Amino acid sequence: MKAALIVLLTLLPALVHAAEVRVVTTTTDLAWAAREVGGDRVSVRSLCSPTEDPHYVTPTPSLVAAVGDADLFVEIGLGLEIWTGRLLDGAGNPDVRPGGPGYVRASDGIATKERPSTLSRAGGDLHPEGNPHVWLDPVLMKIVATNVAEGLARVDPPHADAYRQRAKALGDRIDAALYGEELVALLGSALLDRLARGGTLDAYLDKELGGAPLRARLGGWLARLAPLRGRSVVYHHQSWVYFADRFGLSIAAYVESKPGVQPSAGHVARVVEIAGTAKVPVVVVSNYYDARLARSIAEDVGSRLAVVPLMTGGSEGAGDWFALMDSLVRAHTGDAP
Amino acid sequence: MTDVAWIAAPLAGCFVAVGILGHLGLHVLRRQVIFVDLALAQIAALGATYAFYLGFPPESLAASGFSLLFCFGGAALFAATRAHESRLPQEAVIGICYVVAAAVAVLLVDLARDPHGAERIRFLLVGSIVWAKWTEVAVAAAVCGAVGAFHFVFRERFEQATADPEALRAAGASLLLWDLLFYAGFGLAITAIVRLIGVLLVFSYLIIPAAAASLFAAGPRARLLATWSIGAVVSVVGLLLGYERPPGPVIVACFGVVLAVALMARAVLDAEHRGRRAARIGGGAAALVAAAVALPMLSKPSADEHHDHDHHEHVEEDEAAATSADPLARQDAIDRLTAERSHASTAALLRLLPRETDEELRLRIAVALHHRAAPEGRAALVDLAAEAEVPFVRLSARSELDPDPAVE
Repeated sequence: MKAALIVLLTLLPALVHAAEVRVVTTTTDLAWAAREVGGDRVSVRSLCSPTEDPHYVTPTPSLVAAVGDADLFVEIGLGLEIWTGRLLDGAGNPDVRPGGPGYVRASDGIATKERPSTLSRAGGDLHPEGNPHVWLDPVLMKIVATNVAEGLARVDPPHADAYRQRAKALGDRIDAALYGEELVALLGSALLDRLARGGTLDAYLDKELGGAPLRARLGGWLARLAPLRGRSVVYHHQSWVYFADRFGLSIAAYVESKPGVQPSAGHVARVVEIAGTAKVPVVVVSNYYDARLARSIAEDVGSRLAVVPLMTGGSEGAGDWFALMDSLVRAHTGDAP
Repeated sequence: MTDVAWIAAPLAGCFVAVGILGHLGLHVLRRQVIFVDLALAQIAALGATYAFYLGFPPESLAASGFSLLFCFGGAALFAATRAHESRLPQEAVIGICYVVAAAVAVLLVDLARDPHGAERIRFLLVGSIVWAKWTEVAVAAAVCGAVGAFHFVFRERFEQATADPEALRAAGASLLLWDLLFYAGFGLAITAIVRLIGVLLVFSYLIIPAAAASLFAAGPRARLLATWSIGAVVSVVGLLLGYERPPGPVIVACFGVVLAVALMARAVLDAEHRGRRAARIGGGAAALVAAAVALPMLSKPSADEHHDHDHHEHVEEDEAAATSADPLARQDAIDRLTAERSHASTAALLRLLPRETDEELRLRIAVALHHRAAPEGRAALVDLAAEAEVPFVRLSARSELDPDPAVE
């Protein structure tokens, strides 16, 4: 009897520990957001590795088992993870299926870009609800964090307030990194959010304050990329529309003529011509695509080639999402780390 | 860089492929080992993957070495199993080698720490004709040229090993040795060419020109010349047609058309009543083409016409939008109202001012009303200048009330 009690008492911490919320996410960026928002109340596993194309993942039994045990399942949605339907079917865990309390579509509430007006596979890999690469825009990443917090609040109601507060704190850190602390103090997060989402922030920064434009108070990633504002960049795949829009870059051309479809020689020749005319400073390719074609284009045009991680953990210098964004900003400006 | 310059390197790559693969294809067809190129390419890939698993980077010399070593191992296996062809068909051995090599490569990548390596190995081993570079073409040409020269010097022995093993044995040569040399050279050429033009094209260049040529040409020399001619013409046509499309698949499709036409022509030539057979085949082909063209036209859904909304904005609509829960929607509506200088818009702004909760949006309304000399605007600015929580709103309201403090 006494022995049993001792065993029970020794096991108790383990049992309490096991009561933490098990979160399974598709991508490492979502896993990072879940860890930031969940703190030590959650254990998080990402199904994709950060150097894997999240469009194409082969579900293994261990992935199915992980989803079967999960309290919360988080995916980007928007047709990015075309393999999760089968995975959720096989996992036998109705709580984390779409519509269940433990299901989070992290892109909910985001006004997506590039919604196709006609649907056809001829366009390459197709996202009928718009471009899914939302995690490359800090403003949208705040919405993702909020969605994750609401999901955690649903499956762990006693700590709902804590999750929401942590999401808010994370949003404040993102704001500081994006706009710089001075501008955040002056304008406040709500106003900056509204201006950024509406695409009117840049014009707003021309307003004067004490004889100098507001722009002088801008810091963070926006200030670092300000010298490139209005310049054209060549990207490999259509992963960059949110990033480019946020930082005022224009996309000169994609190395791929259609997403996921091998380019023709004519297309490549046009990309070289466009990139040469626009004097693009950099050709950017994600490290899970073949860089050869992008490299030869960069060489022909005489611009820099940047091979970058596209997801948190995708390279040594991108251990968390802030570091990932830092490395992307650096890849564009050409600054050394 | 002109468009023609882009075509030049890929075309040179295609010609290298035509030269070596046309010749090897004639052997492969007669040996009835049609899929041996896929199997050897996969075994070479397994070698590179194994090197990667051991810790060598995919681009390293070690990886290429392992690739070659595995390839020669596969060649030895194919040479050795030919003696037992009566028990186990050669084609079965080749198929089994292909799937096992592919499966083991997947497992090795899974065991290796860096899953990213899978992509890198795949990209390294399988090229694409679009980005063929002159240096790559030169390397492939050198390797294939060496293999071709070796085949030319010992053309009698290779011919005997393929078509007449008894004659080879009678001459006192070892069938095993010459089979081994054939498959080793074959593996070498395939590995070099796959890097340049990819698996799809390698298979096409190997089999289709040789097959089409075999339908018509009789002697070995005539067959080789016909094979090379077909391959060269289709390469040029395919690359030119493929300028706006992925060229590799276009070339393969062209080969398919050439072979189909060749088969029909052969069937007509073989028939007793050529006119009748020609009419029947021609009719059938025309019906197929007509169906292929007509079906998509019949099933195509009528495209939805996108009617542009009339952009007649009404003040009432904007006022309604300006009470939305989404601050961004309110901002857009308020901006439209402040831009429109009319009595109606001023009245709408006056109604909105007490309802708006966002300080910065209140500021926008207040500034607009102040500029229209409405006292409510000034009053709201005074409030905001004193009490707004957002510092910038407070400061902006102050400077709006007192544009140039220095004049005072």
